[in-house]
Amino acid sequence: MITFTLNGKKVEAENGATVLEVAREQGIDIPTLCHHEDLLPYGVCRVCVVEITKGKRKRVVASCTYPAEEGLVVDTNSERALNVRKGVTELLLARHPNVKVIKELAAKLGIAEPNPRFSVENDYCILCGMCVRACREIVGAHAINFAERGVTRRVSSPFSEAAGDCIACGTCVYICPTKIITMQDVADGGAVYPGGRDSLGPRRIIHTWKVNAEMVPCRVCKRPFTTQAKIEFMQKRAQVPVPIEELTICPTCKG
Amino acid sequence: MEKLTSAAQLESLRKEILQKRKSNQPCITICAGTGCLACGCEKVVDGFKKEIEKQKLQDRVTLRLTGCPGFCERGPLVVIFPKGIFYQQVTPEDITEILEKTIAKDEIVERLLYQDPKNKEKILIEDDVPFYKKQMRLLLGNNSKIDPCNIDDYLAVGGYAALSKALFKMKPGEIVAEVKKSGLRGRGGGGFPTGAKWESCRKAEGNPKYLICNADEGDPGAFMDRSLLEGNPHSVIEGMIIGAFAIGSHDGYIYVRNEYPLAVKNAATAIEQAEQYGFLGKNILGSGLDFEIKINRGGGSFVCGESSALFASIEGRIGEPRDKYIHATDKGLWDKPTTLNNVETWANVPLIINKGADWYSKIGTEGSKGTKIFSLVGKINNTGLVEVPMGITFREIIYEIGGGILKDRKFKAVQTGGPSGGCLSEKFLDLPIDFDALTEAGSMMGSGGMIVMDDRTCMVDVARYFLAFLEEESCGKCTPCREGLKKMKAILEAICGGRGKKGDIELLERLSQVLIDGAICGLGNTAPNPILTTIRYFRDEYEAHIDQKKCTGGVCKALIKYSIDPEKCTGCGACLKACAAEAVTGEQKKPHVIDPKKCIKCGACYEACKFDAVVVS
Repeated sequence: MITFTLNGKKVEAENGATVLEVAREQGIDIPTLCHHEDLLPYGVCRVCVVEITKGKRKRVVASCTYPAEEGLVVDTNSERALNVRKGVTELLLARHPNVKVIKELAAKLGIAEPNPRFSVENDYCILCGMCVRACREIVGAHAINFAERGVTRRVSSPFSEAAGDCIACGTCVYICPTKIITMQDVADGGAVYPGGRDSLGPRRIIHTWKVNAEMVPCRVCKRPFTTQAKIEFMQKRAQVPVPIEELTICPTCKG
Repeated sequence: MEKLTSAAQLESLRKEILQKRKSNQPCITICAGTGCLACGCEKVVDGFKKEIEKQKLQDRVTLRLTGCPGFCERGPLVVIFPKGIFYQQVTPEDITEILEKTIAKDEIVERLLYQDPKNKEKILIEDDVPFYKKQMRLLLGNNSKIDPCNIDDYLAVGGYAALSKALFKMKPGEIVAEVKKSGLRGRGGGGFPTGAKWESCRKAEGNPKYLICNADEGDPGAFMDRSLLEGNPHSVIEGMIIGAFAIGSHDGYIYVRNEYPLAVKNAATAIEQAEQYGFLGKNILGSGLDFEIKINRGGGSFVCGESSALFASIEGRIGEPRDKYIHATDKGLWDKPTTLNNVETWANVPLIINKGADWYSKIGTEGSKGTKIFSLVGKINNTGLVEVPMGITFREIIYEIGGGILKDRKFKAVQTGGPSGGCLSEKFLDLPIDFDALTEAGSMMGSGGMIVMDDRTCMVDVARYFLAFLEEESCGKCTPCREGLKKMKAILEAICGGRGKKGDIELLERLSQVLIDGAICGLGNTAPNPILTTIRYFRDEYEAHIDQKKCTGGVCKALIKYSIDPEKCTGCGACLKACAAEAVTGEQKKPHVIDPKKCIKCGACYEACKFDAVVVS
């Protein structure tokens, strides 16, 4: 255990805990955008910044990646930290004026509207990377990643084509804070064209990654509930033989 | 070649090499660095080879292709030893004459000598050229003496003696102590004390320990690391082996820009030769030390020179930085203790071991020891690489080594530290240059870029230019850098375009602080430097742009107008010919006129006019 000062109060923390974790345990609210407790600390949105004093040196750090240290003095709302937090939010508001999480954060920090000196854009993806990280760290599929750099940075399937390694599990869809990744289950993913139609049966489509995956019905209720790619992926990942019956029963029927 | 297995074997080999070389025999050295290659030195080399063969001079003269001595603008450079006769801008047509006169009869080819632009004096010896005279070329000096692809050349100038001393006469702890005592600080830009870094890595728990040479030199215009790695790769490798012994590492990397093909090639050749001689590999010189070096070619992005991005790149991931709250000396490459030093830093190590920390620490200032290589460019007479002791002033570099401002114009600013460095005004001309003085002035040492600007420079435009570079090179991972640079650049563009508003300066300052405190890595943290220093030292220019819509430097196209002074115009027609937009009209020998509607403000007429008749207002 280590002891340090958090907003003037002595607190104890486990070795290796981050400042953000300890602050949240203590009921101190530090806003975050790219942090998710099931993912590794990433430290890119810089909304969670706090000011620390170590010896004579003061500096602003990201609380989500900074490990709590013995004797550290942390101020979560110092003027310098707030300047960064507000500045970052102001910048994000100019780029994402219609994204709910950004609007809420801006309101919380007292920023009413985008700075008139900034050209306003209307992007939705806030580049928090939760989809990329969840796909990598939780699912292990590594189907998507960041592409390009700087102002053109974006999340993409490889070469912006259909994501070949995507198992259409939908984790990215659930975790995205801006709900910009869209997924749809369709009863028949076939195509209709002059003179005929192709029937492909039930499919799961993730538009964002150009994925169109075959769905598998539950062996009990017969409702399509998962994808063939996901079943294969789970069998491979389990490293021990998993009976196919275990994987082809939907959560409802499993009880 | 049998591997050397002891210090004694190394010394007897060195003796043998030196004996074979006839010191009185003329040696023609030709710079084969990237700069001279671009000037066409390959043809000169071929010409010499053919002519020497034709005249059957093989036994009487040695021809050596060397590294870059730094005076690239005068290339191709040829120096003839033992005297050190310095010929510049040599062409294939000069070869016969050089051989017939200088080699055969010891006569001088006058027209190839360097002429001092100040007093028109012709200078014979390389070391007497004003560009070199004031320099202290501890690192670059050997570049023009050795063939980087021949390890024997390096041994002939005393190479690997420091390694032998370190391995057999010193303990690892003593080496670290010596480097600490020398006061050597990281030449890559940060200026972190090298000895302290080594000590932390040496003490760090975890195995293996990695040692990296950062040769991902990305600052536009800076090429000192390239010249060292191209011209004297063994000095860098020797430094790394000594470092490996001191720290306890067996695995080294040279992370080098793929855009430096010659540096990659020469470093690879040097590593291969060092392995053959037993300086790299298992049981180095019979000391029991195992160390190998791999070359990792860069991922092509500027930010890969940043330590954590560099590690990611070597690991095969996207070269993007991460928070470095745990030091690389504890958790660096593959989360193992890692020592990362710049090319120039490594090249300093053999020097310190050979001559001792006491000798080394006498050079420089209180807080910055040794020499620093600067890449001197801009509106200056002599451009190139200059190696000078820390503590030298800008005035000495610009006016003595650099030969003053081009066309004797007025000095306005000097930009140091690469794109995220700062611009310093005239009042800093007598500032003794070292790490701390530059940081205090709001700029930084960086990797050693030095751009000199004259009075025809607009400082707002300069800030805009550097910001545009940094925005382009930002990886985009963290919000302040990605979004902040974009907005700051837009504001600067507005100011330059005559759309500046009151409050812009304050907004730029506030956003700068967001980057300084908020960005993940050094790129974002230092990116506001060009803005902050230009606001600090040239605030009047910002105000003139915003309030009076005036560009005093005469650069920002939206704010300037070109016209011709009829009093001065002789009607020579030079401007008319230079104008691509056909905006200049006028009869011969009568004053010409510029049509502002057609004028694209390119400045070609201004450059063409010999009578100062074109006026920028």
